[in-house]
Amino acid sequence: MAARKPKHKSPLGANYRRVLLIGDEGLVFYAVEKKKAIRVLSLPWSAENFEQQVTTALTDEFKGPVVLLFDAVEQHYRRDKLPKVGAFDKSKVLQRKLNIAFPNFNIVSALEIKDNASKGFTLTSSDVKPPEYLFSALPRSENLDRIISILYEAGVDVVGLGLLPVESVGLVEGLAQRCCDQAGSERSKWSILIGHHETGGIRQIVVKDESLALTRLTPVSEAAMSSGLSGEIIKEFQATLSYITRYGYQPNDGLDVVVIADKDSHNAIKVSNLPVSNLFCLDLPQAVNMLGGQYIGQTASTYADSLHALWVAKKFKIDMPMQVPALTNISKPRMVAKTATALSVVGALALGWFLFQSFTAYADVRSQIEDKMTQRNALEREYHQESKIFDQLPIKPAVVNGTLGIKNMLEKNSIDLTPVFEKIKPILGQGVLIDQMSITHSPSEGTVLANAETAVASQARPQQFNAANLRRSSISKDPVDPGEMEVRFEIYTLKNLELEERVTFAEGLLESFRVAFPEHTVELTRQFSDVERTGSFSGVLNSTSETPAPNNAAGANQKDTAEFMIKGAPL
Amino acid sequence: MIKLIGLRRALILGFTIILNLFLASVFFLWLQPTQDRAEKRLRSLEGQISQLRTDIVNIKEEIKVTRENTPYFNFLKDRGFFATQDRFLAERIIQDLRAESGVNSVRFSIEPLIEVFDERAQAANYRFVASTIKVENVEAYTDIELYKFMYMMNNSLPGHTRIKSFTLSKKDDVTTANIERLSDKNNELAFAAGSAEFQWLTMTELPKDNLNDPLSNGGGR
Repeated sequence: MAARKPKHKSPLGANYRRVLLIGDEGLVFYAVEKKKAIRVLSLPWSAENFEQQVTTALTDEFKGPVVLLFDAVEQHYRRDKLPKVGAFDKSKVLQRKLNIAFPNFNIVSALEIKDNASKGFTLTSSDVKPPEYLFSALPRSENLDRIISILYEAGVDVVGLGLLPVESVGLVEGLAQRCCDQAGSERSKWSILIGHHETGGIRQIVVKDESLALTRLTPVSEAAMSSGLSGEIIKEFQATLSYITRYGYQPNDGLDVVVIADKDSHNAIKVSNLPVSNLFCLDLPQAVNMLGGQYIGQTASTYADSLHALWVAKKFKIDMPMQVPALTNISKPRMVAKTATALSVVGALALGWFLFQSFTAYADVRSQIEDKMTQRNALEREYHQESKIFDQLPIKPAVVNGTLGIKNMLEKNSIDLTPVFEKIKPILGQGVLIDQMSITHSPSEGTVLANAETAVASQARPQQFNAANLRRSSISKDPVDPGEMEVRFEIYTLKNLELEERVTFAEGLLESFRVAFPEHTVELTRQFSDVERTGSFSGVLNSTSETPAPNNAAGANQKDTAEFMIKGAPL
Repeated sequence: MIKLIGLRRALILGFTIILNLFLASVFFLWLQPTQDRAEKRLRSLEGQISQLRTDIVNIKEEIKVTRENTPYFNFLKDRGFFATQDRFLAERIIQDLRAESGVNSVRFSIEPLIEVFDERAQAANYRFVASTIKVENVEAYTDIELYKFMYMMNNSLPGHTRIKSFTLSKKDDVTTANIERLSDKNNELAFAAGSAEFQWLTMTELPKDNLNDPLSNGGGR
C-alpha cells in the first residue's frame, strides 16, 4: 500500500516525553520530541550494566518526563459494573471492587468504560446504567523494581505507569479510521491492531466500540524471526478470532484489522484470505507517516513499539495509571517540586511584571515631580518678582485698603441732612411751619461705629496686634445696612383753622408723607390738640357758639402743633 | 529528600523561591515606600503650586487695587484723614465756621479721644480713633444760618465727621417788638436755635512709645 498524505490532522501532540517500554524480554527507550520518535536504547534485562546504561541514557540528552508503558505478558483484566452509589462513596466501592477482583495484586487500577451508545440527554432514572469499569492488575516484578530504582537514581520526572494495550486503544481506532478513509471503506464495530514489538512478541489489541475488548501477546520463535512473521501473524490472528467469537464477535459486526509488519510479509497476509471486513498491512514508516509522525532509529520496518511510544507521548496524563506505591513515592515529590517550581516561576514572573508596572508608575511620578518642581520654581520666581513690586509700592496695600475700607464704612453710616429737608419741605407747602425738629442717626449694628457709641478708650484697644496681617490684608466686608435715621418734627399752621380742619389737614399730611417715604415708618405721633378721632372728646355747647371748641383744644395764646415721626434708612 | 527530588530540581526551586523573596522584598521594602513618598511629594508640590498661583493672583490683584486706590487715598490724606484730632485746631475751625455761617453763638464740647477697634486699621499699623463733639445753644437769626453752620461742621473738620443727632427749634416768633429790636446792633436777635452731636473720626499712626500716645495722656482740654 502506497503511503499517501493523511487527510486528517495529526492526532499526535507536541510534547517532549521519554517513553520506557517494559516487556518480558527487555526494555526499549524512546525519546519523543513533539511528533518525532527516537529510538534511544534497547536492552535485554540480562544486559551488562543494565542500570547504568539506562540511567545514562535517561540523563543524557533528551528531555521530558518519563512514561512507563508496560508491555509484558502478565497483565490481568476484568470488566465489572459498579452499583449505583453516590459520588462520595464511589472511590470506596471502586477500591473494594478492585480488592475483590485482584485480591493478590498490589498494582491495580480501574478505568471507566464510556458507553458511547448512551450519549446525549438522559430523560429517566431507569435510563441511567451503572457505570462499567475495566479493572487491571500487574504482579510485582523484579524488572519493574529495577526500573523504579533507575528512575530514582536518574532523578527524572515520572508521569506514571500505564498498560500499553489500554493506552493504545486510541491508536487502534485512529489507525483503523485513517486506513478505512484511505481505502474508502466503512468502519467496523471491531478493530484489531497487530504489531511485532521489540520487547516481547506479537501484540494484538482488540477494540470494540472504542474500548479494549481483548489483548494478546505471543512470543515469536527464532525460526519465525528468520523466515518471516506472516505465518505467525496469521496463526495468532486466527487464535484471537476464536477468542473474540467467544466474547460475542459475529462476522456481521465487521472487523477491521491493521497489521504493522515488514513489507515482505504483507503479500502473504493479504492472500491468506482472512475472514475480516477490512485488512490493512502497513510497515512502520507508513503507519508513522499516516499519523503525521516521524521515526528515527534502527529496525524501522519491523517493530511497532515506536507507534505506541508516539501515541502515549501525546497524552498529558495516562488514561489508566497503575498505582505503584514505590513509583508514587518517587513521582509525587518530584511532581510537587516541579509544580512548586512552576508556581514559583509564575510568581516570579508576576512579581516581575508587577515590579515593572510599579516602577513605570514610579518613574512617571518622578517625571511629574520634576515637571512640577520646574513649574513651582517658575511660579516662585514670578511670585518673588510680584513681591518686589508689592514691597516697592509707595503706600502699603494694607494701609490703602484698610483706609478705604474704613472710609467706605463711614460713608455708608453717615447721613446727609439736605435730602431730608428737600423731601419734607414740598409736602408741608405754604402756611405750615416747623416748630421743632430733631434728627438722629444710629449706625448699623455690627459696625465698629455701633460699638464705639459706648466704647471707652481702654476697652476699645485690641488685645493683640498681629504684624503679619500688615502684609496681606484685604478690604473687609462691612454690612451694607447704613443704619437707621429717625426724624421727628412738630408743625403748626399759620391760618387760624378749626380743630377738625387741622386734624384733617394733619391726616392729609400723614398720607402725603407715607407716599413720599414708602420704605419708611411714618407716624403721626401727636395730633393737633392731642385729639384722636376715636379717643375721648368733650366740649361745652350753647346757643352763641356754632362750632364748639373741645375741652382739650389749645388756648388762644398757646401754639397748637402736631408731631410726625419718620423712621428708616437714611436718605 | 534532595536525592529524591534531584539536586538540579531542588536548586531551581530554591533559586525561584529566593528570586520571589528578592522581588517581593524589592517591591515591599523599597519600591512601594519610595512610590508612596514620591506620590506624597507630588501631592505636596501640587498643593504648593496651587497656593503659589493663588498668591500670585492675590498679590497682582492687591497691587492693581492699591494702584487704583492710591489717588483717593492721597486725597483722603490731604483732607486730614490721618491727622491727630487737635482740639485747638477744632476750636479754631468751629470759630471760623460760626463766623462764616453767621450764627450768633455756639457752645461746644469735645469728649476724650477713644480708639475704635478695627482690624483693617490694625493691619495697616494705624488705629481708628473717634471723638464726640457736642454743639449746643447754637442760636441764629434764621434757621438758614443754623443749618449752614451744621452743614459746614459736618464737612469741614479734618478726617470724617458724621452727625449723630441734630435738633432745630424755633426760638422766638416774629413780632412787632422783635422787628423793632433789629435796629439795635448790640442786640443779637435769634429766631432759631439748635444743637447737634457729631462724631469726629480719623486714623492715626500707632505711636512708637506711649509718651506720645494721646489715649494714654487723656488728650483734649
